Amino acid sequence: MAAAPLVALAGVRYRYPTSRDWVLRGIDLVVERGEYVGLVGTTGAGKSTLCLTLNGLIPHYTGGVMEGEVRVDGQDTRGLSVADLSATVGLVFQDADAQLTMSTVEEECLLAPLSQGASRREARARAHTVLAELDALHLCERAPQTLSGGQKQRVAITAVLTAEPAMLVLDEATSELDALSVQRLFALCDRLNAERGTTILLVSHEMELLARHARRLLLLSEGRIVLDGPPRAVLGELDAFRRAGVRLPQVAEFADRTRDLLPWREPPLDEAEAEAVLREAAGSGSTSGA
Amino acid sequence: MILEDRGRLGRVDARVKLFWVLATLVVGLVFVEIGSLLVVLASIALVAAVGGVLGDTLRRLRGLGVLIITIGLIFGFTIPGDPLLMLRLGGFGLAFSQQGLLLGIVSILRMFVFATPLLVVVMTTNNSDLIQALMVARLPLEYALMIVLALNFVPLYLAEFGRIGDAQRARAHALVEQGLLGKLRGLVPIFVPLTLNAIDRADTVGKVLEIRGFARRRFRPEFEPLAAGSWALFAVSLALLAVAAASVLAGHDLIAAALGAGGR
Amino acid sequence: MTTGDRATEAPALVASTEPPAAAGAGALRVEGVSFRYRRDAWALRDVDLTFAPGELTAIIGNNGSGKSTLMKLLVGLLKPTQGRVLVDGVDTRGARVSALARRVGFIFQNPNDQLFANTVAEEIAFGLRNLGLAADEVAARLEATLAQFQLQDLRDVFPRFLARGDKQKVCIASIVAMRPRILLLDEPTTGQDHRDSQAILELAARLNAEGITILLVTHDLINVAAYSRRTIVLRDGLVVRDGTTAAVMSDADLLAACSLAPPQIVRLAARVADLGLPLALSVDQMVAQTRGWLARRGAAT
Repeated sequence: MAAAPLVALAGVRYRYPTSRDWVLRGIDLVVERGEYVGLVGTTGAGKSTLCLTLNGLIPHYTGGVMEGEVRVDGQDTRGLSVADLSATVGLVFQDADAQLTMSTVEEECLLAPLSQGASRREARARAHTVLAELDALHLCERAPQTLSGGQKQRVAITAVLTAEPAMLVLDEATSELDALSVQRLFALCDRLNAERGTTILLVSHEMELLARHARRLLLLSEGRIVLDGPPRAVLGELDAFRRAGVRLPQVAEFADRTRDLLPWREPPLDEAEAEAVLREAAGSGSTSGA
Repeated sequence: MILEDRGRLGRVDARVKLFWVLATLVVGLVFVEIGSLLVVLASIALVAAVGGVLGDTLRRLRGLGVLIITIGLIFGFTIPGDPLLMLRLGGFGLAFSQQGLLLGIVSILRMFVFATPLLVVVMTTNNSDLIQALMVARLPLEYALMIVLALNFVPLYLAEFGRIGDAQRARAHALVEQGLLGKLRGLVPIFVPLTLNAIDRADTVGKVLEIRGFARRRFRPEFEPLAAGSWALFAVSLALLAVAAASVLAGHDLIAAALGAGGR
Repeated sequence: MTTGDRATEAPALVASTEPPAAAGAGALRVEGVSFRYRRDAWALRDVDLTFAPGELTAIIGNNGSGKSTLMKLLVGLLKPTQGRVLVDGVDTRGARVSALARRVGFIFQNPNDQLFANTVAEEIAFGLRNLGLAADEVAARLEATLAQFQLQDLRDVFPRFLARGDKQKVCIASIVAMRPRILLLDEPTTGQDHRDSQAILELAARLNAEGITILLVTHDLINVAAYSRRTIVLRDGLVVRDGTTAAVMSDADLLAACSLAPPQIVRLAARVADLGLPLALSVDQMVAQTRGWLARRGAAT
C-alpha cells in the first residue's frame, strides 16, 4: 500500500467565527511528499485560510466552522494539536515582525526544538545548523527588530525549519522584500526541495518566479481550486486567470496574445523559452546570436 | 527592546533584576516626599550608570517621559485647591491648583521610579531569562509570556506611533491642538490605528506561539550561579527595602529626614 | 469618475481660507538636498530634482536607498539638513506640514496606518476639516469625492472592515479630497494582488491625466514600466539615474546594482533586440511590436 499523502483535503469548507460567508467552499487537494507547489489567487480568494488548515490553526486556533476533512500524514488535523502538526507542516506568515517574538535570533530558533523536548545543547546545535544553511548564522545575537526585511524573513523561516517539518508553507512571505531577496527566497526553496526533499507550498504574486520554480500551480478563486496542474498546463488557461483576477507571467500572456502569430506549442515558462520561439519565427536566416 | 551591548547588567541574574524592580516599586509606593523620590531616582540612575546603560536608558526614556509628564499634568488639573493657573475651555474653566502641582510632580516622579528600573531590566535581559525569572516568581507561563511579549513589541509600537503620526500629519492633522481636551482628541487618529494594528499583530503572534509549541512547553528554569554583580544589585535592593520598611515602622519619611538634617 | 463635476466646480474649487492655486501649481524642486537622521550616515546626498506640473514619475531603488526619506522631505515631514525643497515655490523649511498638505498629498503604504474614523465619510472629511474649510465646503467636497471614487455605497461602513484594496481607495480618496496638485504614492501596490494594484495605478493615471503631478515610489517594476514616463533611480542616498523609463529599464546592470530586475517582458525584448525588435516596456507594447515586426518580415519576403 502506498504511503499516505503528506496533505489531503477532502471537501473542505470553512467559515470564520465572525462571518456568515464561507471562505473555503469545497477544497479537494492532495499534496505528496517532495512536491513544489505554487498557490495563486486574488486577495480574499482563501489562500491564507487554506494555509491555516494545513497546520491545524484552523480549526484549533481560529474557531469557526470547518466541514470536510484535512489529513496530514494520514491523520485528521482535528485530533492533533497545532504544536504537533507544526512538526510536520511549518508555516511562515507575511508579517515578519509579528513572527519574531524573542529578543535574539538564536532564542527564536531554539523555541521549536526545545518544545519538542530537545535538550538545550541539542536545540542549539540544530538551530545553528539551520541558521548556517540559510546563511544567517552571523545574525545569532542580533535583536530581530534591528534586521532588514529580507533578514527577518530568513530568520522567520529558520525558526520554522528548526522544527524539521516535512513541509514548508510560505504565505506571501515575499511581499515586503526587494527583488534580490525574493529571488534568494525562491532559490532557498529550490534547495530545500532538492536537497532535503522538503515539500514546498508557496503563496505568492510573483507569477514569473512561480512559473519557473514551482512544479505545480494551484489557482484559487472564491474558495475553490479552479486550476491545478503543472505550470505548462495551467498557464495556457488565460480565461480562467482573467476571471479569477490573477495575471499571468508576462511571457505567458505574451504567448497567449500572439497565439496566431508565433509558433507556440505550449506556454513559455521563462524568457529563454519565449526567445527561442521568436527566433524560430525569425526563420532560418537569423541563427546568429541566440 | 534589548540592547546589543548589555553592559554589566547583562550579566546580572534575571531574578535579582526582577527583585530590584520589586524593591523600587515598594520604595516608590512608600515615599511621597519629592526629595525622597529624587533620591530614589538617583539610586536607580546610579545602578544604570554602574551597569553601563545610563545613556541608553535616558535615550529610551524620552518618549515615555513625555507620556509620564502628560499624565502628571492631567493629575495636576484634576485636584481642587488654591488655584495657580486657570484654563478656559468653552463655558467652564479648569483650575491648576497648588495642591495639583504638588500631586502632579509627585506622580511624575513616582511614575519614573516605577518605569525606569523596568526599562533597564528589559533592555539588559533576554526574553527566555525574563520568562524563567517570572516563572520562578510563581507567575504561570502564559502570563510571563504575555508580559515579556508586550515589552518586546514596545519599540515596534513606538515606530508605529511615529509612522501613524506622520501619516495623519500628512493629512493636515495638527497633533497638538488647543488645550487639554484638544490634545486628547488629537491623539485619537493615532491611537486608534495603533491599537487596531496591535490587535491584528497580536493575532499573528498568537498563531506563531501556537506553532512554536508554547502550550506544551516543559520549562525547567536553568540558572547559573550568582556572580558579584548580581550580589551587588541584590544588596542594593535589600537596602532600599530596608529603608522603606524602617520608614513605615518609624511612621515618617526617613530619607526626607536625612535630607533635612543634611540641609541644616 | 464624473468629469462633469470637475468642470463645473473648478471656479468654486477653493474656500475663502485657501489661497488660489498659483500658476504652475504642482511643481516640486529639490535643490542640493542632503539629509541625515541625527548623527547617522547620510540618508540622502546632493539631490537635485525638478518635477514639472503634470508629470508622472517613478522613483526606484534598493532598500535603504533613501526613497522614503525623499518622500518625507517632499511633503515636509522631514526638513533637509542641507539644501531646500520647494513645493510650488514654498520652502518646506518654513512651512508646517499641515500647510503643505494643501499642496502635496502623501499616500502611505499601509492604509491601516491611517484609517481611524467610524465611517468612510468621516475618514474623508477628516482631512478637509483639518484644512479649516467651512462646513458646507466640507460637505460639498465629501459628496464629490465619494462620487469620484464610487464610494457612495460604502459611506457608512467602518473603514477597517473593508478589503485591502478598498481601504487603500478610501485613503487615496481622503487625500485627493484635499485637492493637492501633487500626489506622492509610497509603495501603493506592495502586498496587493494584481487586480487591486491595477485599480490604484489606473486611478493614479486618471488623476495624472487631469493634471495632478504624481510621484510613485515602488519596487514593482512591471508597473513602473507600464505607467511612468520618467524614472529616477536612487542608490545609497544618491540619484544615480534620472531619465526615461525606457532608458532605465534597458540598463539591467544598473538595476542589478540596486537589487532590482527589469520586468520579464523587458528582459525578453532585450534578448531579441538583435532580431530587430525595439524595446518593449509592457506586454501590450511587445505584442504590438511583434505584429509590426512580423508584418515587416512578411513584406520583406
